[in-house]
Amino acid sequence: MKKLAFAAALAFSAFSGAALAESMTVYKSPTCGCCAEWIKIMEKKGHDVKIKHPFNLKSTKKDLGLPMQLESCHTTVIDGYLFEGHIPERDILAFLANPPEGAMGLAVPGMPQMSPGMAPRNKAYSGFKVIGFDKAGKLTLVNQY
Amino acid sequence: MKTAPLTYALWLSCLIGSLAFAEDPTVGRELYKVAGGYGCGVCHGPVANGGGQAGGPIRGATREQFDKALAEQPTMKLLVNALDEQNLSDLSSYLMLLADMPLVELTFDDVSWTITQAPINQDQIVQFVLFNDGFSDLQVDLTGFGLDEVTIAPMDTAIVEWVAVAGSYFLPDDSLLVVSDQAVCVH
Ligand code: HEC
Repeated sequence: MKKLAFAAALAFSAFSGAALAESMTVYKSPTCGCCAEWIKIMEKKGHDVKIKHPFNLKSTKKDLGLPMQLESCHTTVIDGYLFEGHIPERDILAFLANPPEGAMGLAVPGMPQMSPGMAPRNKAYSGFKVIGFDKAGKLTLVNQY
Repeated sequence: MKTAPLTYALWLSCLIGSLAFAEDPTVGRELYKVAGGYGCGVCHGPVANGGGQAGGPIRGATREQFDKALAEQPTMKLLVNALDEQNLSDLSSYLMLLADMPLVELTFDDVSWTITQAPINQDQIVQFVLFNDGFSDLQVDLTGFGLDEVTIAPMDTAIVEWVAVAGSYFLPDDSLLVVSDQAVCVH
């Protein structure tokens, strides 16, 4: 099942050419070290990251439409979709390859210790959920580590 | 996240005459939510309870522990730039205040409850941390404590405060919460 999805994602990226190199804007605070670590991972994977430091990060998140109980440190915008917090790259790519009808984005709330940008390098991700949210305010479980 | 108003009257009545503080826990509480733009709660839980996040619980952490963490924790180092001496002492006094408030953590994941509770004495201000770790609205009946029923959205947390009265109470999983009739002034 997993293998199939992966093959499909690869086929899609070969077709569109750009699916594996996204252009993203990350809203964060200048005092956020773990945000910078997450950004480094994204850049290493070849994505183009623009960084913004809004004066009031919380109200920026609200204005973007994030359900505030899903809040983490940084908020990423790609193609009009929101990606809150320390989401693994593969979940973002899987979402973008096939965004569900009405979907607004994904979130990993809070600051899980074993998530990308928080976990020591080369350690497996564990102990957190990737949550989807849509325009109707409905939350769903998308992945679990 | 919903937060019920804090009641400091009892806590203060334990302290009156014993100190005149330059640091202010109510200011510290607000700062806790916004420090550095995202607040301490994302890493330490909404009321410094840990909440399963990387920083863990810090209720009752001392100023020394706080300073050490700011100096040594890679994820906290940059926060130093956003906090002045007054901010640090306000935050610190808030953490000390929380040390005297017993925590009852209740998490529901659409199937079952996980509940942890600290020992509670008469007149202490208890903080209930109700986390809806599921994907449908959660209604919690706290009327047995003389509190309103609360409805919590998926993945949301409600903080409810309650001045403990000696006795036994049922929690949502039918376990018992017992409040001892001994009053404590911890300071
Ligand atoms: C980006 C995540 C993050 C943020 C934001 C953060 N911390 Fe921490 N904090 C940590 C980590 C990680 C530790 C180390 C925990 C451990 O060693 O178990 C820590 C440790 C601490 C400790 C020491 C605990 C001990 O037992 O010695 C205190 C006190 C503390 N933090 C207070 C704060 C306060 C107050 C804020 C807000 C101004 C804050 N932290 C914001 C991640 C964070």
